[in-house]
Amino acid sequence: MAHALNKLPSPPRAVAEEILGSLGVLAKAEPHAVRAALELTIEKGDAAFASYAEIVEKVVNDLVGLLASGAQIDLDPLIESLLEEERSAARSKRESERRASVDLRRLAKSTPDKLAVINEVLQNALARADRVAAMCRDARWRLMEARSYYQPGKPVGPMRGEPWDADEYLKTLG
Amino acid sequence: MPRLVLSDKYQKAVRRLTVDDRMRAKRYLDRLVQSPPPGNLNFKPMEGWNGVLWECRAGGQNRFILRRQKDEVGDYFLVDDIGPHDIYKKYKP
Repeated sequence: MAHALNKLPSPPRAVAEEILGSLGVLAKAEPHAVRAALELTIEKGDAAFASYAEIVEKVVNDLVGLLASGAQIDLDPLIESLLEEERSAARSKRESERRASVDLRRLAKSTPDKLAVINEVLQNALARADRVAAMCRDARWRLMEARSYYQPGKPVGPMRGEPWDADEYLKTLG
Repeated sequence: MPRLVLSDKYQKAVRRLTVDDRMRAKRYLDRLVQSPPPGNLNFKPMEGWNGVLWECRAGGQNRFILRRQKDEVGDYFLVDDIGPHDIYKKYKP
């Protein structure tokens, strides 16, 4: 748990990245073999994502339970780490989309017969690219919500209304 | 990215702001839907509300109050109100 409080294990590699990494080999295979290989990659990616999502959910549930029971936990490092994963997933998606467009253009010249299959499966994989970011975001928000409820900060400044409420203070001066 | 819906209450509140503040609020809303929202927006749950109400900078002295809700697509934020710091006084848990 101590390690989980600082950083969760890294999420699985994005499916689109895996596919883009193997386009060179796939371009030489038969179209039906290409489809089978790509769909297998997507299936493996889905399974890896599901087990990662399960781990994250368990960690978050346990931490929320601990906070509810009154434990004092510093969630900042974990929240920061989830935010970093979210940023990194968004960057990775942008990079994959850019790379996909370049690679598909190149593929259209060299092996146009496989372009349709690869394009279809790649679009399918790119559509899954947001899920790691969405999962990290939801986990982060749950932790932030639990922290704000179970570990409220001390009220400071007029923003919180007390005890340094400037309006109320000025009224007391007459 | 967080989905945002502007409430009627917000539409009325925003009309009370100066033109500059209104433009600034619009820019901040545009940034809020980025994935993830930039850290300097200070988008966070309001204390004591158990995630029902969220707060966020709206430019200058103004703050947004957002209400987390659900529909058939998933979670979204209803932009409930906008106003200067004092706005927090209206939302005590």
